[in-house]
Amino acid sequence: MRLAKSFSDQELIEKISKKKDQNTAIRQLYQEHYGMLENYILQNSGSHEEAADLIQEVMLVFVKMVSDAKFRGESSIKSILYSICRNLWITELRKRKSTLNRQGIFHSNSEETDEDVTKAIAKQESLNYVMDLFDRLGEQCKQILKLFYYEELPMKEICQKLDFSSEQVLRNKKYKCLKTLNESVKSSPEIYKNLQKALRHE
Amino acid sequence: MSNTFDLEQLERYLYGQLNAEESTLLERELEQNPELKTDLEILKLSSKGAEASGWKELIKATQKEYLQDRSESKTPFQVRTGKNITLWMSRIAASFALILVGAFAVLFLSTNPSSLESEFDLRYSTPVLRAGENSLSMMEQAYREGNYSEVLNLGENSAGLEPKGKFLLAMSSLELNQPENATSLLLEIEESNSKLNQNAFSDEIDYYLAKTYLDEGDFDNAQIRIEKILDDQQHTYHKNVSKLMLWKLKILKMKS
Repeated sequence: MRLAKSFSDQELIEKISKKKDQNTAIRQLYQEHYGMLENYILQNSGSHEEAADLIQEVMLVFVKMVSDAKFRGESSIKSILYSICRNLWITELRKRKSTLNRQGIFHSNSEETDEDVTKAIAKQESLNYVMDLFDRLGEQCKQILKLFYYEELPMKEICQKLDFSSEQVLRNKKYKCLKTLNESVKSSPEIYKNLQKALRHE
Repeated sequence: MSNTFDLEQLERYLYGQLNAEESTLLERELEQNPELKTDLEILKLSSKGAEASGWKELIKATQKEYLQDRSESKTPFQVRTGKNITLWMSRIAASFALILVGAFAVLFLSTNPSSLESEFDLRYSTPVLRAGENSLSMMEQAYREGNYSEVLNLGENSAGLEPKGKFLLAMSSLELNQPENATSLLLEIEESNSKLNQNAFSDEIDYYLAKTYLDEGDFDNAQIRIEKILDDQQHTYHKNVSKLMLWKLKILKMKS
């Protein structure tokens, strides 16, 4: 997993936001920051396995912040990753309240909290529910939706790639898949509650 | 889902693909119809969820690869040390090879017949004898005094010279830069030794023949004599020749 060249923070942000060579960008994030993030978890009562699970979540929150233009490099990538990691880990530890009290690993009130990070984490929690529902779709549906929303491929290309007889057949299939997902989302009490709350505060 | 707008229209609205009239209509409907608004938000969430799933897949694969690489690089210390030693040994070997190549290049460029001839710097010295002790005393006296021409003159008039006399003539020829004459005289002594089963000046003959052959440019015969001296540890001149001289001789052969 050696990288021939190291990119600057700004270059990494651009690669992620434009989805251009994002694989290289994510690889560099791991090489440069995984150790630091893991160390934080290990020093705060976490295990290697817990660190591995949490760091995946940290990366996902970070990528979403960049995609939604909530992070444009105002601070260093290192500090934003650290902030996301700390917030997520503290949330996790709060769920284990009694342990937290005993070990005194509290998130100090005086410690600065990044509002954007807190919001991004909250958004990601809702999105995690949707991702779980997405995983329950059939393989073909997942492929179509991923190629369309993540890879951002045009319908014509997806049609060729997945061997559909026509774009119209693919379009129909795509909306059918999307409809299934939407219905699952709508019937999910956790998501629906958050959604209604968000709409009320709009 | 609202009856007025379907999923496809909502998505086209999100991507800004509706025309102005359709957009206005939809926006009006959104204001009045909370169900449609919820549908639109759910559509946004679903599409973001699908996109995030793509990112999650990439992140998961990258993390797996990263952790695998990391665990491989954390192999036992001894193994890493072994690898390092091998690496360093090969680097040292490469450096030595480079130095050898460089040294060989210098040797190759700097070696010429005269540089090698200068290494045959042993001049033959006659033992000190009292005057009139034997018939060769005059030649020896002249040789000691450095009067090599006189030695050659004395030798010319002396038919049937003994090996010692011939040897003095050979050495004087060498001093007077007449290597062919010296070679011929030394070979005569060697032949006589062979016939009479004697060893007169045999070690000296090897050493000085190597020198005369070198002077004459006969590198093959010079090499034979040097190898003979090198191979015989009891040879009088064993310490006066070296493998380096042999290398230089081989370089001269290559150059010629």
